[in-house]
Amino acid sequence: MRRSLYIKCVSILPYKQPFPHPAQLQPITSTPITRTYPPSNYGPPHHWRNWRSRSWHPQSSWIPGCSQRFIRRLDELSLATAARSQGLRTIPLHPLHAHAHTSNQQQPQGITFREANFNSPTTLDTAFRDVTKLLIISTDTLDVALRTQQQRYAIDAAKRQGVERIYYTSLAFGGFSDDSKVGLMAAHLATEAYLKAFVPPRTMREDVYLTESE
Amino acid sequence: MNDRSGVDYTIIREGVYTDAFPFFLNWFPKTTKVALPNDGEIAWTSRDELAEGTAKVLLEDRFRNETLLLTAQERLDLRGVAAVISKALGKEVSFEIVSKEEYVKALASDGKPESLAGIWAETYEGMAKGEGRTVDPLLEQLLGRKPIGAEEWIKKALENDPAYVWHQQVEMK
Repeated sequence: MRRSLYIKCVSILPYKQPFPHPAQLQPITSTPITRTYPPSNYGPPHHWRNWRSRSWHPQSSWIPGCSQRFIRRLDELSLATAARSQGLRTIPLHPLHAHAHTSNQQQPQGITFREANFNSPTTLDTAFRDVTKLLIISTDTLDVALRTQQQRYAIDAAKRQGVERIYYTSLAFGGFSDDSKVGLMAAHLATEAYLKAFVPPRTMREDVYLTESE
Repeated sequence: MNDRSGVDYTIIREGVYTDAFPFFLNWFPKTTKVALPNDGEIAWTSRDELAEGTAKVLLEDRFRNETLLLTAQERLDLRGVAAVISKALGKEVSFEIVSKEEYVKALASDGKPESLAGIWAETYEGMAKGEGRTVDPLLEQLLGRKPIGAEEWIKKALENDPAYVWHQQVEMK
């Protein structure tokens, strides 16, 4: 059984560079870009230089939809617990996080990092190969159409690659209801609805068997 | 297509990040006046604890095809946040409700597009209707402790760094 945990890959664009429309993008690569940790001979491009500082000059960058702290926390917990005791095979992250780890005292070992771009389905396909559980942390453009499209690309790629479960980080406005009018929720609700459309039919049957066997 | 059997999901509705409080108040370290079209209570939740809770959700087989809500237990309205900022920095940050028109105009003069102002105005309306106030005990159960409240978190953040900003604010300028 494949047991691997995938943590979101994000597209990296220099700070203030506008997102190109997905239709205008060419697939970047058809083979997975895989890096191993610790990175050898690998450093971030110059425009990532100030990614952690609070000085936001045009050369600095931000990762759309991604919180370093979020990822780091996930690292600590899921790497320490999952990778060892749960037997999770790989936890690919974006190379940027490989860089982030070089400054940490405790460096996780044996992790594969893969690159992917939310605007490019091909890169998502290759990045999600052999992944069982996929966590999609929502992208952070405020353009509802683009954000929805990026997340659909990720969901479609996950389906094509046979991912078993997608975890999606939505937002809490509206509580448990699906009728929030908050602007920030629009792309989340659209993505949630898209996810719900692909529940495998076996789910119902298994639930019935469970009940019967009790 | 090789979509054989579809894919299961777990939707995790993450509480509004406490870390993003400057974003929601349109507050910058030099701001002394916060003027918004509406106010409402938010169950602010720290990003670290959301990450921890989310990681724990990922490690479990439960929650198949479920929608979860991860929030802290305390609520604080935007006026309350402004008060916490004032207290933490030892200088007055006023809070005022203005009309939607005034708000949009102020954003426009700040160089922000109207579409963005629209999204924000809707967001504040939603807050006023209580859309941000739902709390759920799941996060506390996952963490095995009480999640940190907004007041405590913001106070610590500002004591640690009085020039605290949230990255999306900078992007939007």
